[in-house]
Order: sequence, then structure tokens, then C-alpha cells
Amino acid sequence: MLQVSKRIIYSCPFVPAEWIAAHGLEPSRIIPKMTSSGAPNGVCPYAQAFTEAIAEESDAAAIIFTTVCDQMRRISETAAARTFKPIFLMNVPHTWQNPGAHRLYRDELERLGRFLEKLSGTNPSGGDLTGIMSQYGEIRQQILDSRPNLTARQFSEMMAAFHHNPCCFGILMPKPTPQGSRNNLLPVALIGGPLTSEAFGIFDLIEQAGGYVALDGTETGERTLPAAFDRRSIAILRLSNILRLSKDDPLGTLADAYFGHIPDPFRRPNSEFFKWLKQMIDERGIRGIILRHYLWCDIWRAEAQRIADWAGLPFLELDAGDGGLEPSRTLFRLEAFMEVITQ
Amino acid sequence: MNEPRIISFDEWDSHYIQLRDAGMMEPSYGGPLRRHVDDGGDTRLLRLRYDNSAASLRLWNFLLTEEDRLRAARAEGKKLVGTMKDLGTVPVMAYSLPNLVAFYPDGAWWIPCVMEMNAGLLSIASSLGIDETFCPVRAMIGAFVTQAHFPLPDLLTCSVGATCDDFSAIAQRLEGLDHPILWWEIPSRRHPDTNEASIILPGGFSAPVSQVEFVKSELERIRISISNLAGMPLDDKTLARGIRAANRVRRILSELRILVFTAEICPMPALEMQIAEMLAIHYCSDREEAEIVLCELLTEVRARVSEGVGVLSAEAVRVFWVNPVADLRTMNLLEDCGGRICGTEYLFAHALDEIREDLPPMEALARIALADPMVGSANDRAQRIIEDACAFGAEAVIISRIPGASHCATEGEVIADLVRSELGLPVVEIEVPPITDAMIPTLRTRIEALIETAIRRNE
Ligand code: SF4
Ligand code: SF4
Repeated sequence: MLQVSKRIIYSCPFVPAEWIAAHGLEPSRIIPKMTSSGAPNGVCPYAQAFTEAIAEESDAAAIIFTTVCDQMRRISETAAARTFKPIFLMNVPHTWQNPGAHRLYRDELERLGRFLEKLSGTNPSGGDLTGIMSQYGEIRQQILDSRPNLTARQFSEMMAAFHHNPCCFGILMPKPTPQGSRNNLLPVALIGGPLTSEAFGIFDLIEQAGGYVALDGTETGERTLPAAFDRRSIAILRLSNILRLSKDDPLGTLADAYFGHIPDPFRRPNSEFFKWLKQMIDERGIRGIILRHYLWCDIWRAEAQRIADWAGLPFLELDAGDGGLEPSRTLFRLEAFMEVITQ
Repeated sequence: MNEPRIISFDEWDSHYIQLRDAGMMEPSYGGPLRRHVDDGGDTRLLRLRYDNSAASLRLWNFLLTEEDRLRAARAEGKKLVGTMKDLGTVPVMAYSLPNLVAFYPDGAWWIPCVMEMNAGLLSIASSLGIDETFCPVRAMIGAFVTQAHFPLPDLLTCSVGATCDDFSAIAQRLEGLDHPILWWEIPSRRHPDTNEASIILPGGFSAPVSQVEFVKSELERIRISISNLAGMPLDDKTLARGIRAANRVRRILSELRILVFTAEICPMPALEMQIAEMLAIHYCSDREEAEIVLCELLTEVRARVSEGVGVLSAEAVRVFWVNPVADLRTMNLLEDCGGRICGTEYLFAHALDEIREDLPPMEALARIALADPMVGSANDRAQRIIEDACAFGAEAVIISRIPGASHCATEGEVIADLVRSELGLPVVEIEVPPITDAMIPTLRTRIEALIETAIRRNE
């Protein structure tokens, strides 16, 4: 494994951790804490929390923001005014149906690469990148394979832990939950924006209310994992890059796995998100959908009613308000929701 | 020339008759203002105050009859292009072809104000889950549902990427309601890296050549769709002609703005000037007529300036205004408080800049699209505001916050801080909802305080 020296902080799933690690840096997709003072009027509480978390990450070498929403794009300027650390704003195209958008994403990865190279002095070879892609791909697969043996919260936290520090992530499997314990619980999908550290309690509340998260479609969860790399082709890519036998393009493969795969409502059109959700609802036998979104998050809020109408399943919209989780009120609503499912 | 005055809606009744009796020539869409209230339900007009020239009357009549023109165009067999979000680029392409008419469904932004909520568009939006946490452009989705304010377009385009979340999210809901959209990407404009090939855009921002190339390729996709819709090619020669026509409108507007903003005595009120600026982005669905309307207004202003007359006192404080107001009445309020407009950035400064005629047309359009102040940083936008405020001699700046708008959450502070630190001007940020009646006392107090600060600063 490459020597890792400096942390690069980000929150967006469209930033490939492999690319940062290949530059000899330490990717760290953080889960911020809600700010106690709340966000200013109009500002997404999550975007605010991420921006404030940066100040606490004293060992960060740089911060990456992306343009997946206007709130994040713009708050990057506020963040830049408050820190001396380098900030990189990565353009993530919203359209995806034409090759130009894919090229733009890839060009942005190259620009990010130049930024990272300035920080670390490392210009990774194709072999370096494929090595990390193969390593991270395997860890992700192990996490996904462990899902049946974990509680929903453990599964989500394990993914978050991997994203937080993939370079040093060892598969420390939490104690498996006896399968029988889910027997009487209703399988629901939890979808929406990213979780803050306090918000992981939602998994427990859902279980207390009589359900379990059979699909974590939050931004923090499995929805935003890149496509699995095909092991054989990665191995061939790696070998050919090490031996300099071909011009095969590991960065292109990486770009496809992220930009070509992650379904999200910010994408235009966002039809792939609906396709993904439909497929997962069928695969996991989902009985109800819980959407958790933040105040001022237009991206998710605008889709709430459409998702409810489209899915034809019981649907609960949890407004994260200023980001915190009000346990008693949330539990009350979740219990009522589970009742609706069983009727 | 009629003695310039600001008059009430009621005064327009008798004034209209006087003008008509004095031989005022009116276009086919002319007539007294009152009919827009009686027939069209535009009740906000009752509460506004207006410039009393025939040119202004024509401007208002032109603005308030857009729907008729769109329906007439469709009846004539023309195709309608709804160009969403990009302000001032795709319409230039569409109007280059004789059988296309472009319009902005975004214009529904003002319907809740003009019809004082009577159209129910915001309630429809709310019923679809697009509530008051979104900007007033949510009225657009209501307008698509009711189909009462514009005919459904034959082609709907929308720029996304570095745009507000409000519009992107609402447009996506529209598509979910079976209105297919041709999405095109406008990337977040960034500063070129060291040694990266770059271009200075109209208006002075710079951008990497690669971004201009990318936008050009996106506009090429639009060109193909527009050509297919029109059934004729939008070749470079045709497009170049369209650009020249767009520039004629922009030049008229530019002269109008310079004359109005720099005249010793303000020759044209803020409200009419705001409407005039909007004509440059969408031509109110008739480019040739928009040019005539603006020419008449310019002629009136030239005459007033040369005679040293106007509609406000020479002491009026010169205010630079940032962002359009959802309630048009606010522009009257500024003048009541002793201010006048001298410089604006209504989110589309780029649509007022001339498009280069010495470049291949698609390149020129890509540059203008990327010069949009909203696709870059708030810092960039602030710099442009500072330059324009300086050029027009602004004594104060008002940033009007648009309720719910994603960009307003953070950019006001950035702009205000930079204006204060670089120009030392007083700045106030106010929020303007579609109907301000209940807030008028608060808004008045804040604007008056700003005006007083500016006056004290000058003493
Ligand atoms: S939660 Fe919504 S508004 Fe907030 S950062 Fe994420 S996408 Fe943007
Ligand atoms: S006013 Fe602002 S938020 Fe609303 S549509 Fe225009 S740019 Fe978007």
C-alpha cells in the first residue's frame, strides 16, 4: 500500500477516494456533527455542518467541495473565506445522458489530480491507481457481503467508517445480529440526504417502532457506493499498466464507476434514481419508504411527493428540521407509520 | 413631450385619453392600462405608480400582452420554445429562425405579484410539495398545470449545473409531470489555473478555454434540436444574423441604462427600467417589436435628458440594486424613500453585454452563456457589481433577497462585505416576497435608513 501522509476532507460521494489515495494522500469523507447554533436562514443545515466541521479537522491538508447542489457550491466560498487550507471545488455535471458530461467529469478528475499532486508531490501511475481500486473495491464488497449479519445501523456505520478512513480500514466486523431478531420487523427503505453523526440514531428508532432499514438509500449509505470494479478487468488493467503494455485507462474506469453509476436526485434527468429505487424495492421486499431531508434542501424536498406517488407504498417524510433528530417526536411518527404499513 | 411625472393607476385613465386625443399612435396591443386589471386580473397594477409617457404605456402594454402573442404565434403555425433558466442565450438561437418563438416560462415568477396571488399558482405549487422554501419561480409549475398563462411549448430546454437548486428541482418536477425537457449543462465557471489557456468573457470575467469549448458543445445539442423543431438548419450564417439582431436590442438597452443611471435628474422610474431590462432577455415573445418598444423609450429618455427634466428630484440618492424584486411595488417604494436607481444586477448582467460578432457564432454564444454572473462565484459577481456601481456613481447598494432562493442564502453577505470594504458604500439586504403590503413599513424603515446614511456620508 502507498504511504499515506495527509488527510483530504470531503463529503460528496462523487469524489473518488481511490484517486486521492493514489496521490499518496488520505481520503476522508467525513460525517459532520450538527452545529449547535443552527444554520443561518436559507442555508442547508448539512452544508453548514460540513463547513463548520472543517475548522475542527486540524490535520486536514485540503478540502474538496463539489457542485452537486447550489448550496454546497456556494458555501465553499464561505468556507474558503474562513480557512487558510486549500479548497478545491470540483465540477460534477448534473446532466449525464451525453458523452460530453462524462468527459467533463473525467477532466475534473484530472484537474483534481493536479491539485492533489501539488499537495503530495505524487503523480500516480496507472498501476498505483488500479492497485488501490482493487483494494477498495474488495473492502466495499466485504462490507456489502456483511450486510445480512449486521444491524442496519452497524452496516451504515461500517460504510461511514470506511469512507472516513479507507486507507486504514480493517474489517472489524461488529458483532453479528442473530437473524431471527428481524423476523417481526417491517423492511423499510430509508432514503434522503447525508446523515450527520447524531442522526444514526434513526436506525434504532425505526427498530423501536417495529421496522428495520432493509435499504439505506441515504447519501451516507449503500446508494452512493460506486459500481463494483470487475476484478478480472482491474487485474488486467493493473498488469498492463505496470508492464506499460497498453494505454488502457484506469482513470476512465474509475470515472465510470462513480459518475456512470451513482443514482441521485440531483442528476438531470433523475430517472436513474427512480430505476435504482424500484429495483431495490423489489429485491429487498420493501414495505414502506422513509425520506429524511433537510430544511432548504430543494433537491430532495422537491422530489418527496413524486416519490410518494410513484412508489405506491406507505411513505413518511421526515423533515430533519435544523438537522437534529427529535427522538420522541420522530419515534411517535415512525410508530404511526409502521401501523399504516401493517394495515 | 409630455411633462414627465410619476402617476397613479387611476391617473392613467384620464391621462390615456389625453394622450390619445393628442394623437398618440398605438400598436395593435395598445389601449388603456385598466383593461389588464378588468380583463386580465392583473390587480397589482392598481397599486403601482408609473411613468406617464406614451413610450412607457407601450412598454407596459407590450409586457402584459405576451400571452396573446404566444397564442397568435402558435395559431400562425410557429413553433414555441420554452427556454428555462439560461437567461439570454437560447432565445438568441431560437429567434434566429423565422418560424420559432422563444419565451421564458420562468416569467411566471411575477404572476403571483401581478395578479396578487389570485391565479393560485403558488397554492398549486404547494400542493405539489413545492412550498415556500422555494423561490417564487415555483409559480411556473402552477402555470404549467393550469395552462392558463402561456401555451405549452413545443420544445422545453433547461440549463442546469451551476444554477440555483430551486429551478433545477422545480424543472425536474415538471419533467415528472410529463413535460419532457432538453437539459443542457452550464458548468460552474472557475478561474483558469496557472498556465491554463483562458479567455476574457464579455463583462470581464475570465474562464478556461476548455469550459468555453464544453459550453459550445452543449449549445450544439440545442442547435440540433432547434433546427429539427424548425424544420430548417440553424447554420452559422443564420445564427450570426440572429446575434446581430440581439445586439441591436442590447445596444439600445445599454444606451438607455447609461442615460438613465447617469443623468443628473432621473429621467425614467425604476419600475419601467426594470421591465426594459427584462425585454433584453426574452423580447416578450417578439424580438422586432421589443426593439421598437425600447427605441421609443430611449427616444423619450434622450429628450428628457437633453431638456434636463425627469421624474425625481435631483437630490435623489443613487442606489445600485442587486437581484430582481418579486413585488414590483418595491421599486416605487425606493423612489418614495428618496432613492433612484443607478445601476442594477438583476441576475442577468451577461444578457445585457454585447455578443461578439467577430467570432464564430457558437463560440460567441458559449462565451456569453459562461459570462452569466450566477454561474460563477459570488465574489466574481460582487466584483462586477462593484465595477458597475463605481461606473454609475452609486451612493448606496440594496441587495434584495429572494425568498427561498438557494443562492441568496450565502451570496448577499459576500457581496455586501466586498462592496463595503472596496467602495465603503452603505449596503442593506432586504427580503422581498411577491406581495409586500404587510411589510411595507419595515421595508420603508430599512430603505430610509440606508438613504439617510448615504446622505450623511455625502455631507
Ligand atoms: S442535503 Fe441537499 S442542500 Fe444540503 S448539501 Fe446535500 S444536496 Fe445540498
Ligand atoms: S430568482 Fe434565483 S432562485 Fe429563483 S429561479 Fe431565479 S436564480 Fe433561481
